[in-house]
Amino acid sequence: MAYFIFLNNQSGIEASLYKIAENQNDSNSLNINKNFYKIIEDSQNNFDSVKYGTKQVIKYVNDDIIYENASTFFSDKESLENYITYTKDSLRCFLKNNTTNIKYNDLNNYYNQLDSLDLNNITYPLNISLEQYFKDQNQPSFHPLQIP
Amino acid sequence: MSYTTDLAIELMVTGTNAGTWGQVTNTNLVLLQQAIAGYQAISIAGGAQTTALVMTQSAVATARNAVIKLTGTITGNQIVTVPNGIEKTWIVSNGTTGAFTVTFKYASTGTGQTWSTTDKGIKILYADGSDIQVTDLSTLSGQVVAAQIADYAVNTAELATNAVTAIKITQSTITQAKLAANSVGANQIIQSTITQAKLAANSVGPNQLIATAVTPATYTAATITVDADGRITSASSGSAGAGAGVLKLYTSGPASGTFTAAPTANRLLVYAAGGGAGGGVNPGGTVQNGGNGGFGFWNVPVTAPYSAPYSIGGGGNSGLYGGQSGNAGGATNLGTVATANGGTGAAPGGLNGNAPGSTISFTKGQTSFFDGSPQLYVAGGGCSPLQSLSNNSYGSGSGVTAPDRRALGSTPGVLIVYDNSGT
Repeated sequence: MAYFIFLNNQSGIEASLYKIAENQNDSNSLNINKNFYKIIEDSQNNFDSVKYGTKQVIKYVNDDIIYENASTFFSDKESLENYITYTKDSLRCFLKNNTTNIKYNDLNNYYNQLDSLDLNNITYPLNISLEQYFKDQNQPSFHPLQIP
Repeated sequence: MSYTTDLAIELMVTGTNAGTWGQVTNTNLVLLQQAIAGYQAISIAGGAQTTALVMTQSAVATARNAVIKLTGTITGNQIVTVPNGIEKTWIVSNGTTGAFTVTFKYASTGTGQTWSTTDKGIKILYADGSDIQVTDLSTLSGQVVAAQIADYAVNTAELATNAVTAIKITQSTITQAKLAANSVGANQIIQSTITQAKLAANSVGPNQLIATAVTPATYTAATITVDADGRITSASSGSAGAGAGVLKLYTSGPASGTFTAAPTANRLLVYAAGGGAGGGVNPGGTVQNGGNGGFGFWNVPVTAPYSAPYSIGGGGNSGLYGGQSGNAGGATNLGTVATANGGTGAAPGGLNGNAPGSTISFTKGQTSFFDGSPQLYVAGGGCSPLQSLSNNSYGSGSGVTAPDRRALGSTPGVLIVYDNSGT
């Protein structure tokens, strides 16, 4: 089971999703005090849809998550580069303060993976998410919401 | 007949005293004996009066004695006279009783010598023809030096009250060995005689100080009373003030761990900001700010030793394309002491997080203290709104294109904790 971590007491309010975790171990690696969050379990399929950019979470209502279909594309190299820069910013924040976190090595490797990605070898527009691109290349990927 | 002028002894004139020479000579010898060795006690008892001592020719007489003791109870000042002009020596003892003066003088010339009302001493006198002179310690030449006074010869009995005054004592004559224990008491010391220069190093110790009622002890945060002489007359310990704040934790999110205060700390000062939410991208391509993270300050007592888990929220992720909301920022908390919630993402308008008791809201413009590099920082998170990507599409959602702009990431939460372990 996957986990979707929302702010507490935000039922029915959009944009209260804080993190997503693929499993219990990943959930435990998040830097959160679970007392302050609404944590809802959901399927692996829904988790993958959010991770790979085919769905987005709108809100939660009580214990149900409301999704909306989405698609992701990058029209050119600069758009993808900006996304990577943004993701790397989040990774740096994590790597700076969480050297003992169980996800540290995985995310450090992912940071290096992003750093070494040759954007010139990608055909634009890229009509899939970056995470889906890596998956298609048999490389690991992490959605920004998976970063603790 | 002819006589000597001073002792009135008959002179042996040539051709005279035929047949009586021996008798006259014997008489003269008696008179000489009286002048050299004669002693006579003469009463001068009574009120003020003049008693004349005589120098009778060829006969024993009062004035001729070598030693004269004046006796009797006198009730007035007395004058004792000898004939004018004679030259002679006497040892005269004032053996009278009664507090009156006694003057020994010529009958009508000179002033003579006077015993005061309390002086019952003995004087060595001599008559020089004009007046009566005295020979005593005040007129003798030479000095009484230390070698002439045996050790321990001068005791208290030899020193009359007030006999020893300051000018009679030089500094070097008084040594510690000459001061018996307790010989110097309060009456011997006036305040002005003791100066710092007169006190040797370590000369004032515990035995020289009068005890006060203050209990010997170490006092902390004390209330101390000092009198006009600089003595501490009372002291008591008070309560220490709060220790100074010592920075113990200073971390930005995302992070978590366990905070441990100093063992003695019983108060925390906590600044906590929740993570700011990510901005959203509206379907038309405009960008919406996420909500700021809550921010609060807590000044709270804790029980020592204090330790508690903490977590610091990360910033919310921003929307990527038109119609995609930003995500929420994470909450920042320290145990049950402090909680600052993260902001909610923009969809289309984010809500600020909240922190109990907080009304503080930071605004963009500070230099970040998160990683040491200068950058704009919105404390408590919140979404910096835009970065222009002119003429570039970034993504689409729900069939709507966001043509030229995307939202930037928000700032993470922060937790700053001081405890009162400082001094």
